[in-house]
Amino acid sequence: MKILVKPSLDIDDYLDIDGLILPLDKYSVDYDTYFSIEDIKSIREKYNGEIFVVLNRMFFNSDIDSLSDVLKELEKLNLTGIFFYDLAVLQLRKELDLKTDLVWNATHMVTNYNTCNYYFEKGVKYALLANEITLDEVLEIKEKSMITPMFNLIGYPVVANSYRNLITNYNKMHNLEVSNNLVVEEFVTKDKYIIEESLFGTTFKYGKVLNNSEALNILRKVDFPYVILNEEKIEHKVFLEVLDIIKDNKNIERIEELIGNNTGFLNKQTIYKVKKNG
Amino acid sequence: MDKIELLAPAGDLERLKVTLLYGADAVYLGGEKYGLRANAVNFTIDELKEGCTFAHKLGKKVFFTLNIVFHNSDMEEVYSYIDLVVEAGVDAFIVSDPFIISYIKNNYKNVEVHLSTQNSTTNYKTATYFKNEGVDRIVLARELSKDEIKEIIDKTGMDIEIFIHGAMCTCFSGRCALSNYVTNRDANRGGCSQVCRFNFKTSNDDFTMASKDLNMAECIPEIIEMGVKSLKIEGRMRSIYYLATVVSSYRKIIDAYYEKVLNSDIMNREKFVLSRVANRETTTQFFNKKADHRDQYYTGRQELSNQDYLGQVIFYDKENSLIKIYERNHFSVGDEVELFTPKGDVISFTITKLYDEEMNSKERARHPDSIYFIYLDTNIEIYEYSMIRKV
Repeated sequence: MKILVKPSLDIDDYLDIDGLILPLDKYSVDYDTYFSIEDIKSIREKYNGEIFVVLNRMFFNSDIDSLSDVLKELEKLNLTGIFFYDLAVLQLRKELDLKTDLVWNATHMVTNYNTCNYYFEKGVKYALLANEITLDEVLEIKEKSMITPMFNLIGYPVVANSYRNLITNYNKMHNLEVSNNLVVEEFVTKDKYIIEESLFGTTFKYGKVLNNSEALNILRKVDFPYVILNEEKIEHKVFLEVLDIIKDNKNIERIEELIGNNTGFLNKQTIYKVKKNG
Repeated sequence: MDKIELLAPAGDLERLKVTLLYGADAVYLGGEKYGLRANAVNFTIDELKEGCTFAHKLGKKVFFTLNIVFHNSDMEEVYSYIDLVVEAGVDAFIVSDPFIISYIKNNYKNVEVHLSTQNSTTNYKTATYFKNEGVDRIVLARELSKDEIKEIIDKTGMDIEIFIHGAMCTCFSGRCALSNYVTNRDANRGGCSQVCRFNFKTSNDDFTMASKDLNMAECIPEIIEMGVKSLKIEGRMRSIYYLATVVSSYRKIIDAYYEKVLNSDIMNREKFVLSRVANRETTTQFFNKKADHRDQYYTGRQELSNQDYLGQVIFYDKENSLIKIYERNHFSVGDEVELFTPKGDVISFTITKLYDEEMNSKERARHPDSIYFIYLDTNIEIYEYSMIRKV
């Protein structure tokens, strides 16, 4: 099982890690820190592991020419893969006859083996599974699809993405100072949500870090290909300790002491019918 | 030029009949499985057959929503369910999960596939991808401007459907799991609990992000000229009064445009009618500019109760000049009201005589869900599903 890390910024502590995830500045959303093409080029020079670049935002007509140029540029960087949400990336890869592998990264929509197989047949090699499915569903997708699945193990879960500038709008209406982030609390559950605004809209994250480390043993047992650890908003020292524990596969229970025990939907099915028809 | 399609929601068989009779060219509806309104009444296969027969007799179409994001456990019966739905007579499926597309296209050449707005298609390359996959129509993301919509039409030649009226999501469709996290209800499988209309606590005023509703009435001429194929009204869970009113207004605007008689009087009249049935403020959202603070609410849920709908006409006894109605809200002798019909006629009159079901004279109808008779002498044909509203 390979470990991929999304570093907060500096990658020097991760040179021995299997792979890095680097969101491309102006082409990705839902992260705190982004990397330019020049940053990625310099990382490529000193890092021998797998590099995945993220291009996961929704693209509009006016983005297509520059997206095309960026994909051609990335093709030269010997990347292991490109994370994408918008199918414009898949279409352009075909039109431009690019070879860099793709990671289907449709956030909440990567939820079943049939759709994973569909994208595999379209030339997509990897899929980052949704956080909102159970461990049983994760394992079934691994078993029944040909795609190479990835699984978010540690990190703050992304909850939603809007094209609207929700914080700017809120501040404007309440005459508040300009800001691009906000922590809010839901009245009933008392859960906190982190809201962040960028050039491309607004992202919601859940206020507790996801800790799916209890799944590690079974994931290793089934030879699950990739797990992802996202350092963002986690103290660097704490994150390095978590990473060491996972690499060594010892003292896993210590992770809970370090970052809490939010297992998200790992053991919890969502419902969608709340009353009987008729 | 083909006339643009007016597409309306149908939460059940009665709504299907009402929307089609009031002028929709097609309806979209969900079955008991795999639709994004899991908590609406929805259609059994038998009801679907009846609905398709009703629609086809009028020369109209039925589109079936199969637009959940599937989980593994949803797979077992999906193909056999599609077969049953096709057999019932639907004209198109509205899908989101792409693995469904090839099954429908490979097995049913005469059934169209429409890509749901759940996929949030925002550019011409993504539209091209789905065109190459055999998708017949794309329901575009609601975040697009008119120029972007036009460019997608021009560059792909695809049949394009856009939303013109009703509630809006705050986030990109499909890219929102607020409902999953806050209420454990799966937004992408029909369980959305509309968390974007909740208030959240901050150190200042409550944070809210609810969107005002969409109303594109005044943009209809421009949309027709852009080459859009279909105009979609949101609201499978809305009342028949709401649907009859909204469909009827857009029908009149569209017909007036094609008949070259659309003027400010007609537009203002229909905008007024639409405003009376709205329970939230409306805007054109992203069509003319990027949506901003003016397109949202900041003081909690802003949903107004609407009591304009007085009753549904059951039949008109022409001989005795009496309308038999099913009462929905209170009204009295002396009230100024309008009766509107599925054919678009509107009769304004004052209630002069009112009777209960036993023909006792009454001054006031004060028992919703009861039968009343109102005196009205008119030569205009009054059809089933005509309705009465306050002026």
